[in-house]
Amino acid sequence: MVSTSTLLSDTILFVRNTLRTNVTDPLLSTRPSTEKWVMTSYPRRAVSYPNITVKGVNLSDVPLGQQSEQRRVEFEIEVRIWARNEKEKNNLFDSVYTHMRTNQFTGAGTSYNANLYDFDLLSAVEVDEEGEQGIKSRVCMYKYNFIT
Amino acid sequence: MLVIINRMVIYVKLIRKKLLLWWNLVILNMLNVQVKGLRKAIRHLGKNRAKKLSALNQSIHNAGFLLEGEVKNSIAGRKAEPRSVDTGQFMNSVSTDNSKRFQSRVFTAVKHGRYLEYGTSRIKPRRHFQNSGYRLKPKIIKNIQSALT
Repeated sequence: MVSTSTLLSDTILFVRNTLRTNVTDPLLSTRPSTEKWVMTSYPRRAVSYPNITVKGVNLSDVPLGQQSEQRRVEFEIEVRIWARNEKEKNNLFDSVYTHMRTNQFTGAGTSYNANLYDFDLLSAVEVDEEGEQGIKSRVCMYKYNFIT
Repeated sequence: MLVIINRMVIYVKLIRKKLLLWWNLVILNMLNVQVKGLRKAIRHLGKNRAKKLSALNQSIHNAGFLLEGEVKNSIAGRKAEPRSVDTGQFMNSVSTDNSKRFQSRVFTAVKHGRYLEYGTSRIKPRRHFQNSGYRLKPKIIKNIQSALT
């Protein structure tokens, strides 16, 4: 659950954990146990592709009344899918998007239970590196609202 | 609301009982909403419509130029993002397209612009465009609002 005092880190960890547990890793059997496949920062050491990075890119807020200290905070979270080829990239995007979209209201561990509302996919930009061996990636911007 | 009122009038006419007639009239009075100066306001909007739309278009186009300047400042290293100037090709390629009404597009045609913006497996993203947009969003909204008032 996202709490008021640690809203940014809680939101990012919520997205990371929900993707880590609900989206199937294509390298589940071969990936080293020390290596995570959903991360909250761009990895510095060598990694195996595909993987997913989750980052909080921007947050802004609006007041909920003239004499109120309460705010509606709008998070923009970048979920980036890094893959070896187009097919893998598109399949992972579908899995991530479907999970994020359907994990809002029904069941435990939903975004609604974590106090995150108004899910939106703002954009999904493709950034493919050159060459056949180039890493393919899709930068997805998701939006959540939080009342603090 | 109009539908309800009409129904009530028909209802009153059909039953023709004094008590019910009085009751319905009371309800009719309770539902009565009067907006003063509405016609005048509509007339005023009609007169200034073209002027307002032109001001809106102008402010959106100005926002494009404002954003272009901010992106160039960002690329030059005058903002929080890292400096991305080597030959100056990327910075000079940033331009604004105001050819369409109510639309302004700030863009670069340089191929490596996308890699600098979003990063690759080797370099970190620099987000010159995205961060400039975030920074200027409140200012642009304020400018558009003031152009419309």
